[in-house]
Amino acid sequence: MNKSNGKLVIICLVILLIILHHDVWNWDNKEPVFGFMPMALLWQAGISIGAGVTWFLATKIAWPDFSEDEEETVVTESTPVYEVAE
Amino acid sequence: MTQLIIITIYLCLLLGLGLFSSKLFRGTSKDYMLASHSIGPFMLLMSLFGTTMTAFALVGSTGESFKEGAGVYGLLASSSGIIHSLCFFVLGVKLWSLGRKYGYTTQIQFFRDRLESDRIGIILFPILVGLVIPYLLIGVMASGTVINSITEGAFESTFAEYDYGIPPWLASLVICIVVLIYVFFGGMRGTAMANTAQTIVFMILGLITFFIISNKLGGLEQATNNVLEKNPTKMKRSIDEQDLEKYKLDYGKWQTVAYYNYAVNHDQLTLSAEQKKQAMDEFKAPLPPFLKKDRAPAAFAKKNGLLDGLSIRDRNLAMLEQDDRMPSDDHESNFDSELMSHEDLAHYKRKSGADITGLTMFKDKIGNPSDPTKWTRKKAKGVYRASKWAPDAPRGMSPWKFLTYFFVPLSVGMFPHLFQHWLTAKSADSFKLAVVAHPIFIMLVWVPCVLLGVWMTSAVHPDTGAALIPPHFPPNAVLPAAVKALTGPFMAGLLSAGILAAIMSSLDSQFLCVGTMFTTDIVTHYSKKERFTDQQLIMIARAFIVGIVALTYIFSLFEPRRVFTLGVWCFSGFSSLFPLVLASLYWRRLTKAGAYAAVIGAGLSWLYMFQDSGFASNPHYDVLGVMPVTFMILISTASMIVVSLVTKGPSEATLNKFFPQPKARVEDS
Repeated sequence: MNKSNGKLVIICLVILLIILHHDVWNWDNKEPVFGFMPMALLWQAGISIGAGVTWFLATKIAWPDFSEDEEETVVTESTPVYEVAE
Repeated sequence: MTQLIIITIYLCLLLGLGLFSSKLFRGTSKDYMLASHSIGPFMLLMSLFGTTMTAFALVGSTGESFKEGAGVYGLLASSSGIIHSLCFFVLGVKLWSLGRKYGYTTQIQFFRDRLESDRIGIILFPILVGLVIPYLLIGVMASGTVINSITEGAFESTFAEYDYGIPPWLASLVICIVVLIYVFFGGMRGTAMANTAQTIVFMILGLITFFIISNKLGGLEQATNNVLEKNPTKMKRSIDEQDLEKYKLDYGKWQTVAYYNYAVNHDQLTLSAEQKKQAMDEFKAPLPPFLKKDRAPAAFAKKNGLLDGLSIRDRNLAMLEQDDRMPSDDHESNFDSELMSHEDLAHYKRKSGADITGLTMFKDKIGNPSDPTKWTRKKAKGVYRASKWAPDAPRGMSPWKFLTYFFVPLSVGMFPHLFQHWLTAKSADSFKLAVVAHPIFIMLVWVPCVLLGVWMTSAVHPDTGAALIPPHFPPNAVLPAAVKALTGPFMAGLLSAGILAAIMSSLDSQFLCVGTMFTTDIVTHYSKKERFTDQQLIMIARAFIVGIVALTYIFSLFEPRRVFTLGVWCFSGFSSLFPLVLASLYWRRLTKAGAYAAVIGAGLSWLYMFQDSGFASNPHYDVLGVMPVTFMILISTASMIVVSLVTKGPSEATLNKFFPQPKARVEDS
């Protein structure tokens, strides 16, 4: 998978996580899961795990390559421009 | 005393670590401020996580879920798991790369360069330092509360007015001094090492605390069943019918007591001795004598229509009096004609320190808590609040507020101390572990804390069967109170050390960061080259840090705020500047004037709403039903875009510097 496709996958996954985070369907659910865990808490803990997985994927398929960037950079370190501008 | 000894040993070990790390210090200001860019993936993860998880995560989340229920996790923890790592990924790595390339140490250096404006530093410096102060305040305040609560009864006769424990002002002072010492000795390297050690300590001890407490409460299922039975609203985000019915009943009874006390105090009613005796005989509820004293005659007066003569105005005044609130000179126009609701009542300012009356009321019961029959002064005040003030209305969560809470964690993009931590990374790859593990670590810390807070709403003491934490209990003290009540002195000492570890692992980075900003962005920037030696710069940084810590310490002596509420205000301020950092990295058209507009828009909107919320005294403050941060971000973004589009864009040199074209494209053209 190339970097731009990878970034697209990560953007979609983050949007999905944001939608799933707003779990209005659990608003009235007070029944504990596994006998002790409030659903409001369990669902959101699942979102945290989902976030961990998404960011793991991001490091594999969308991580920027800085060594390449630096090689391709045209402009090198220069005097801060504001000293000239102001 | 055992707890005090353990906390002291822990603080000494921490000082030892600071001294050890000073041996690795290379003597340069770069090493002092950025550890010479030598921090690897594990230490970067631990120091970033330790820095973001402050008193807010342990003390604040437990107290807030005690008040608002299990939904608190969704408000900030799960959203932070998504947003924090997003910021590390989208901003952190890029800023690290620019920082390495152009030698930045602080955010302001980057903004000055990117915006071609020297003066942006003048406006950003006070705003960033001003926002770090409430962040510091959270830690300083919470450390005082934790140590005081955990050491109650440690002394035989000293500090009686602090329940024979270390006074919060002294505890906060000691914590500030310890953190100052190890930051001064070790600089950024010492801070990163201490953060790593302390993060490991608080995560392990936090999990141990959780299992010990759940065991004491009869196991995980029993602890949750107690909540389902007594406070089901805390298990979800809407109001439970059972809680609503109970509240209506309790509020009605409370109104009767308020009317009765008002009528008696204002000579509108006097019960004869015979009526009083009859009232006591008829009152069957098994209440302690101090409660029965006014509940019984109030019920009798209501039953026999003796309160019917009270006017609406009298009834409204009666509720204000009973709830220790101050009548206003300009009441609502319908104050005399309409009975005010509980919500209206809450708008009146409560008399400061009204619960001190509890100390007089229960003076015979107050004593050294090492004697189990005696009450602490905190308990006396708590019982006074729970028995005199109106019962808390069950509260659900607004889906709109829940949604707009998502903007709060954007603050990490603008935390100056995180910027500095990002720059310590050895390579861009060092970020990978932090990006992936951060959401999981948040879950490991927050889930137990939120569960504990929820359980404490309905927990009873395993030996006495009495409520462990009464209603109206100060939320900041819920975690230490639970630890103290449900564990032995040795464990309580260890667990408190864990809580303090979390607090100090944020304070240290913030201390170091304000010193770095002052020397880099003000002193070095505005003085002639080579005017100060590295040693002198380090001394100047230290002096500024001491000044800011002293100021924060003075603020901590004033009336405390809810840690969670204060934290959200502080984070909201930083979040309102998020559009600026994002645009400066990804929007070529951002101009100097646009940046000024964003900063001014963010600053003014934050100031206005913060004062409108009573300086964080109203924990339920919102703007049109959503979190105030929503409008701060909207205002700063809109001002930035509009002003940038109508002003002259950045110079070619700056665009080439921050948005370099790939070689191939340049060659093609």
